[in-house]
Amino acid sequence: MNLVMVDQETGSLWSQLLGEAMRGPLVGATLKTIPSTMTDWDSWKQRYPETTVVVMSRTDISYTRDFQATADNLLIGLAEGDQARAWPAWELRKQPLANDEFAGRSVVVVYDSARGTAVLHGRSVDDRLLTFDLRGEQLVDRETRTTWDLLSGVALTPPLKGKQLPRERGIMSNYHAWLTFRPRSTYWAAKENETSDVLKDKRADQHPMP
Amino acid sequence: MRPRRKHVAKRVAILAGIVVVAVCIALLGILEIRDYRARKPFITAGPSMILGPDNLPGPETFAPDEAAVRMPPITDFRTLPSSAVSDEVKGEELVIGIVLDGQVRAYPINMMTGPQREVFNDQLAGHSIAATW
Repeated sequence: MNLVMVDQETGSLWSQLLGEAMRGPLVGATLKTIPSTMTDWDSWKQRYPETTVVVMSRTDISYTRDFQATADNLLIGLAEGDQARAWPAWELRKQPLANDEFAGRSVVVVYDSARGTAVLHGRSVDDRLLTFDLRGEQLVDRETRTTWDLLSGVALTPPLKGKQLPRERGIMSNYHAWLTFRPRSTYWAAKENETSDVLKDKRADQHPMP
Repeated sequence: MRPRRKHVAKRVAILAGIVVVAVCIALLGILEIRDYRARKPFITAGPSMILGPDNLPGPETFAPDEAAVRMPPITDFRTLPSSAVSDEVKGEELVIGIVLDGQVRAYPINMMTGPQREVFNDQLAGHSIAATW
C-alpha cells in the first residue's frame, strides 16, 4: 500500500506518505515536507540548467513520460492538518488545469502528461487572487495577463515579472495509499470542479500496485 | 563482379553480426531489470522482524505487512551537474525535482524503486533530506 521507512538511530517506523513516525521512540514526530515537482529530465534541466542529479544504476525503466500519460492510479495530494484534497491524474487528463481552493488557500494544479509534469502552486500573490489558463507550456493569469513559468511558478513578463507563486507542498501519491492515509480527503473532479463521487468506481476495482 | 559481391556479402554479414550482438546486449539489460523485479526480495513481516522491541507504542492500525531484508541506508551516491550527464539519465525519464535555498537537485525515479533503494539520505544547501518514491 505504502512504503514504511525506518531510521537507523531509533528504529522508529515512519509513514512515507504522512512523513510521521507511527511506531517506536519517535512516535508522533513529523518530517517537514519539501516542495517538489515531478517532470521529465529534459524539462527539468531546461528550466534549471544549474541542477545536479543523483546517478545510480537503474532499478526500473518504466518511469518515463509514457508512464505519466497512462498511469491511472496517481494523484496529486495536499494536506493541512487532518484535512486533505487530491487532484487525480485520471481527472486532470480530461482537464489539465485546476484553479481550486483548499483549507483557506487558493491553488493551481497542472498535469501535463505529455511532458510527464505535475505541479501545484499557490495562486495568491501580494493579496491578489489569480486565475490561470494554460498557454502552450506556460501559465497566463486572467487578471493581469502575466505569463508564468509552469515548473517554477516565476512570472516571466510584466506586470508581475519576477514574482514567485507560493510554493505548496503537494505530493504525488498512489490513490490507494491516499485513501488509506488521508481518509477525510476530498477529491477534485474535472468540469464539476467540486467534490464528487469520482472515486466510487475506483474503489471497486482493485488495481495492482505499481 | 564476383569478388565485389563477396565483399558486399562480407560487409552485410559483419553488420548483421553487430546488430545481433547489440540486440542481445539490450535484451540482457531488460532481463536484468525484469529479474530484479521478479526476485521480490520481500519477507513476511513478523512483529519484531524489523522493529526490535515487540512492544512499540503507536497506532494499532499501522502495521507493515511486508518487510524488506534490512539494508544499510543509502547515504553515499554520485551526483552530477546536468552538463555532465549524457546517457546516465535519459530525457524522457521522470525525476522528482527540488529547489532548496537556491540549490537545485533531481532524483530519477527509475533509480529509486525496489527495496534496496526507496530512500536516499541526501544533503542539499545544508538541509538533510530523505528523498523517497
